[in-house]
Amino acid sequence: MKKSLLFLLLSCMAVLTRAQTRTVSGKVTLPENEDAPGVNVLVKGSNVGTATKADGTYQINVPAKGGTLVFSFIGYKTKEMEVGNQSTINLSLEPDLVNLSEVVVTANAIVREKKELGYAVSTVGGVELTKARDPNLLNSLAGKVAGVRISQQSGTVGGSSRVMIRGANSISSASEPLFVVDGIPISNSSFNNSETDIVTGGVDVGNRAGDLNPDDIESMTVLKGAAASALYGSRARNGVIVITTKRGKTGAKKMNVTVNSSYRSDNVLRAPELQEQYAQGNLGVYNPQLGNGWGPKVSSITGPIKDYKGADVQGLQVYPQNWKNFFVTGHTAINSVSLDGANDQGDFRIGYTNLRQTGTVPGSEMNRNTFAINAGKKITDKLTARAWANYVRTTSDGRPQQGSNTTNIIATILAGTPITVDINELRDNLFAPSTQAVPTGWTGDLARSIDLNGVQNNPYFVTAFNRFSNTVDRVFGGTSLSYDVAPWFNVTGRVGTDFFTENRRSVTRRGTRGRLNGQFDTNDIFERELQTDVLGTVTRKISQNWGFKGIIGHQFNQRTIRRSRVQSEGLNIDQLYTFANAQSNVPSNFFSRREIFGVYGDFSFDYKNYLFLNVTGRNDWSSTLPVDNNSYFYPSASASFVLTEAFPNLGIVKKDILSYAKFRANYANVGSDEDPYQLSFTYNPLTQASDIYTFNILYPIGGASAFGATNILPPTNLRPQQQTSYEFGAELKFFGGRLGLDMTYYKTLNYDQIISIAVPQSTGYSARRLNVGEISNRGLEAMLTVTPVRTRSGARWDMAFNFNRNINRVESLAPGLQEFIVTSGDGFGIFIAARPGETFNIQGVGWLRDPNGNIIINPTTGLRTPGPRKLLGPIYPDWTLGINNSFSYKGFDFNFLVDIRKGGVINSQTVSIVRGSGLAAETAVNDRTPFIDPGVIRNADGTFRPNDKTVASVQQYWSQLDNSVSPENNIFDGSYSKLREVRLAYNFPKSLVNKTPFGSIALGLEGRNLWIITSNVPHIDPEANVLGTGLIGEGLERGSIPSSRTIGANLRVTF
Amino acid sequence: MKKLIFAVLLAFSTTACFKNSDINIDPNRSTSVDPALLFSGAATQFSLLRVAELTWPVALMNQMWASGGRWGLAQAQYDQTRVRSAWGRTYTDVLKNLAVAVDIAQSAQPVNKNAVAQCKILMAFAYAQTSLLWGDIPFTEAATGKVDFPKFDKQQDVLNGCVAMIDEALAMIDPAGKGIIAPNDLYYGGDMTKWRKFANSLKMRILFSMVDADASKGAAIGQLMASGNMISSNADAMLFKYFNQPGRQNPRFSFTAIFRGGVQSDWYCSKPVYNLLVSLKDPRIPYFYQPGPAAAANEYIALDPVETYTTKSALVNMNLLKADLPEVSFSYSEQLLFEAEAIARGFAPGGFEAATTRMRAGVRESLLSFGVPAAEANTYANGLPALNAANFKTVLAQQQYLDLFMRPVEGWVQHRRSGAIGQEIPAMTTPTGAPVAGLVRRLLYRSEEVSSNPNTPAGITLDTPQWFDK
Repeated sequence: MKKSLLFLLLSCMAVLTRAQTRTVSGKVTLPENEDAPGVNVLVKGSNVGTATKADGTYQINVPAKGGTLVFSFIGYKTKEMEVGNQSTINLSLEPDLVNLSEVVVTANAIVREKKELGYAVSTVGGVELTKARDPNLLNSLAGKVAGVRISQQSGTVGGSSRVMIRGANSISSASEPLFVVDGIPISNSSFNNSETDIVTGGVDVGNRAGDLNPDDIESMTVLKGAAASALYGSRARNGVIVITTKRGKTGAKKMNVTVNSSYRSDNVLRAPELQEQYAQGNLGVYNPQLGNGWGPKVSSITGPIKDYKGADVQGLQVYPQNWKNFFVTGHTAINSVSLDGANDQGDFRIGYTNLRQTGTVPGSEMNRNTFAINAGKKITDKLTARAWANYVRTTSDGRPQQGSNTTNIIATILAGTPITVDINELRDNLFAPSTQAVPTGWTGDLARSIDLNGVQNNPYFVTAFNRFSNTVDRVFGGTSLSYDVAPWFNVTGRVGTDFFTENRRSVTRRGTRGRLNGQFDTNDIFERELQTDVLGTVTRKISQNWGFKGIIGHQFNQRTIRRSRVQSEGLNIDQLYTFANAQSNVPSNFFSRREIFGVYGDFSFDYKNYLFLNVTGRNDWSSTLPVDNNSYFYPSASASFVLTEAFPNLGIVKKDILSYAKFRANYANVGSDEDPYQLSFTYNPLTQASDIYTFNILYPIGGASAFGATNILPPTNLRPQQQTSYEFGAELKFFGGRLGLDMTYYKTLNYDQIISIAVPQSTGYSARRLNVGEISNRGLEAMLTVTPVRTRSGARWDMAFNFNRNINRVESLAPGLQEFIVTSGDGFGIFIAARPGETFNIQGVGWLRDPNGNIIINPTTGLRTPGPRKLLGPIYPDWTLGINNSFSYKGFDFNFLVDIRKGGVINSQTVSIVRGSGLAAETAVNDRTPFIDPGVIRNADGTFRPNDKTVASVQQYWSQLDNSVSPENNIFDGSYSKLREVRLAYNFPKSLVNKTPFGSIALGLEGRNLWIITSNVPHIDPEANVLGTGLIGEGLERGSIPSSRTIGANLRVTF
Repeated sequence: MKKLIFAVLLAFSTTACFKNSDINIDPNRSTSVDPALLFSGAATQFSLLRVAELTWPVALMNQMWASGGRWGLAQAQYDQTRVRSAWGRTYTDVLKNLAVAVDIAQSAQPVNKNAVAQCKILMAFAYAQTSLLWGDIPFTEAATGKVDFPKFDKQQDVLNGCVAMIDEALAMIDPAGKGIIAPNDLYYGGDMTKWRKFANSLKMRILFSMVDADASKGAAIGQLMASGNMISSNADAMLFKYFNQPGRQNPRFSFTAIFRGGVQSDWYCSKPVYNLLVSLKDPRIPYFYQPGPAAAANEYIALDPVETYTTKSALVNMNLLKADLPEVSFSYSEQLLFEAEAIARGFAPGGFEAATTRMRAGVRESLLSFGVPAAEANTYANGLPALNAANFKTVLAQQQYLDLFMRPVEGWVQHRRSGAIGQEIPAMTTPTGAPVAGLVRRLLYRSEEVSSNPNTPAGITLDTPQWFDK
């Protein structure tokens, strides 16, 4: 491979000559009579070029005679001007509504024209990201890029967002795309991915891509297929989000100063609809020991009675808004300032951003400071150096727990708070009054409980004292050195790293009900990724019609994770969270490192600038695979054909009916490695023994430590995992760009996956690791753009429809294996299951049904009967559609985005809990008159008759529908439509700005996640998911912090 | 310059092989281990399952305790979802690790015979327990990792195999030698004399579970009685100790602490047991139970299996759910009552007089273990009717059942073997809303096993009697 490349390089060599020159200058303007800074000015057929300054002026050397200048600017039509004898050339650029010359940053920071690419990419520009700034950058992509699905996991401050591109590619790991910043991969880990962590009160700690600062980002390009994986390696098989950070730009002054300030406020988007009549109790009998709404009507309670505190009262009062009143308005302030500048010799940019956020859960807050620097210098004509670095420090405190099984789950407490409890009284009185139940032998402060039994904590006690805090210190960046060996041959070396430490601490105060003696958990995480690249690039014209670009490179990648954790229990002194103050400390630690060497080549040919061919190949050597089988090669090929440039004389092209038509196709194969340390039979030091009730017994016990042999039978003859994919696409523009369609059909097959396949537990092992299983995705992405209004005065209305349909299918599992549990929500009574021929489904106990599908009712109770486990519905949507409308006129820019999801299901345990506790509004209808549940009763002869048995009580009916009996009634169609984003931006006109000290002023108003237009899920936001970003699966909700509705304003000025 | 760059590229590409590299050697785990460390892990996990996950669901579905509908009525209606991990953990974390420990101890030079014996005795305990819960189970091909789809052995083969395994272990015990010692032997601290006693007692318990279906086991019980060397005092009892330290507390205590803020409000007084106690004027009532928070002192209100609790419902006494109570695997009172049964049934000599004496001693020990004062215990024990051919089955079965009040796993076996189907002692009826007509007689195989092992028996319902259940 390499030899043939060398041959090619040598055969392409040529000699360049230099000529005498003279100078031309001028000014470029835009149609709105604004100055056009940053326009590329190039002498046609040469490498000589410059860019206009902030006032639109330029100066360039041209050959002594003749010559043509080419002016190009993204979004505007490229213009060629004959120089002739002129020494001054002024011109105005016209908007290019067809966007032919869009450039895209692809793999390894290589810039390509979009039309060259044989695969689908989408770019979201930085302006788009800073007009409405979300603390988690990924949320800004929601609904805007075909084939990309972003789901915000919770309303936790700094909460995580999940990204999925073109469906799940693995049944053993989350199919997260690779994030690359300026050519260096960065981590998007969350370290919140153990199932146990999530079941027992996990915290949404956010995902590390959320550290990225929108203000420092020039553009985000989404590479959806695997075609770019030659240059990025295996991880690119799930798609790549290529992020380019801002660099200094040439301006009117030596230095540009930009200040951008945002303020946002968050409120809970949706709170459960609760009943406002019934007190706590059982079967209509008042009982202050309980946290529910199954008592009598509050209005019917008279005379002396004990309330939830154990105090004697004469009657009770209804506090209907407890849930809503608990949450507060969150505030976010984002302030950034940047300095940048550039000249012929180099460029620099320094940015600083401060983000301060408080959440809707009282006392939750996050603080983020970001420093960015990016500087390049032309050392000689041939040698360019660049260095960039980002330092991010994120601190957060008071992130709430979600899930179940501890008494700290806010949403669960609220779902059990009787309506006779005044939430404001809880807020003002954190501790238990003497009248409330106290555990035997307990002395000292104790959390007030919402029930006289003393089971559930005061939610304000939890938010005040039982706090999760974390600090992340992160640096990512790199340096590169680029040398032009010859005008057609460049060699670039690059070293980059991303590393962070995260320190977490979760404390539970003494006196917390359920954790009386207090505890704390200290978790230190270090992660580092290091990558080096050396690549040579050859750009040559082979003949008049054929061009060539070739890249060969070498890459080394190393990833290290180090964790240490101490779980401490039993505090001697209240609120002193030191190891020495704990009666028990269980430390554990973990280290992992993996390395990959890769060698790659990427060769592109173009014919007359309308036909483009690209082939790539890469070979990797991975440290995680068996030494004898650790090398794997993977190729790709793609082609792009621009019909309108090949046949410019076609009638419809000439008439501008078909303004642009490009067709593309590609095929790619990607091999990939395995997690480290999976090859040997090992013995694990144990920290705890556990059962499903999570009363972990900690080692050492009675002085004895313990080990266990691995529960996963190690693999033999392991091979690399494989993915093959192909896609076909077309980009079509009609009527001068007023109508556009960009569509892609793709198919991906993943096989030879390395999976721990369940074996019968009676073998003594839970799984065997081997190459097995096939999973496929095929789908259609379509982006339709329409410009219904476009006037000379600048008024414009654009619509973009962004459609995505992905069909995910498990093609096969191991022979004989009927089902693979992808993620166990065992504690929730549900699983995410993969079965051959199906996509991932929620699996759980379903109701017993007759052959016609009617629910079989127990004739003695009138209640439904749990049946066998079954698939309860697919977790992924059938299709999604984003509809964006944008209107612009004279500096005003208004747009709104509607996001639609169709299909897929969600299991909500919050719904189960509020119904089971008798607090949901629907449990109070019809004065709780017992009714007949529609269904059938089995007759003695095996036939069925309609149910005629009335349930004994409404309470029994709703309790029976609890998730732990059968999740079926808490499974809902996940379809929804949402008003995702509304934005109004105003750019103050030049004429006005000129009277101020500013260079430009832009004002924006924004709203996000504003309105659930339609949803089939009661009580909660249908987008919630408790599994976070690390686990496979969506559609499981339990005790989630409700999502927020955000409204904000933004002011951006430059000096 | 060009040459240099190509040279660098080529040089880089040849470095990539990881031959002789230790980068993929796991720094977090070991490739060798002392069997004592595997034993302590297996024992802790085994005890945890017995005292937690196999306690409340089993106690509730068998009406030993009542749920009061605290967690929904399904608890008493044979809900299988609350016993989720016991099957898997018993095989993967208990039996597999013990099997691996046996292999390591056997390949040591010299062979660590006592360690082999200790591991095998615990394995026999675990296999027998698993079989008595589920019926036919993988045994001969289980927990080795060598057979992909272990076959399900018949219950009689499993239990006979357990007896044989105990015999192998007994043959290897060398009381003078060292096996797994303190702290890793969490039961007996390496005292092999006590291990031998426990092994014999365990063997007798397994034989008793078989004898109704296989009369020949009576003779085997007689032989055991003749050779003695079984548990003969409270000091010999097989106990797994818990401590009043965080993370080392008895999970029955932690359960209340975690879910209920330290206030017991989950386990209620069940009518069949309470009625039996009342009929016997048994002094254990205030030791088994505490009155509900709204009940008067000494007012014990029991619940049907599917009855919803009230603030007056009596609860299982918090004194039996203390943090530092041990998990009891075999008690002295249990041993004495077995001996009484062996004599009464004529497996061992002595006649009803000796059987009565042994029973009264056993009942006295039982009462003492629940905290009943000695004088009261004596009075009650001595007041029990003398055993005779007409009454011995009932009187013994009542006392054996009450003795196992805090040990639902053994209590359930005792109840099923106490009489023919429908004639168990104490009498119980199927809870309203149960999915089957009869009393629950087994656990259902877990879906993990069913979906991955084609050998899993199908078509078995919750009230299908097991082989031993005659």
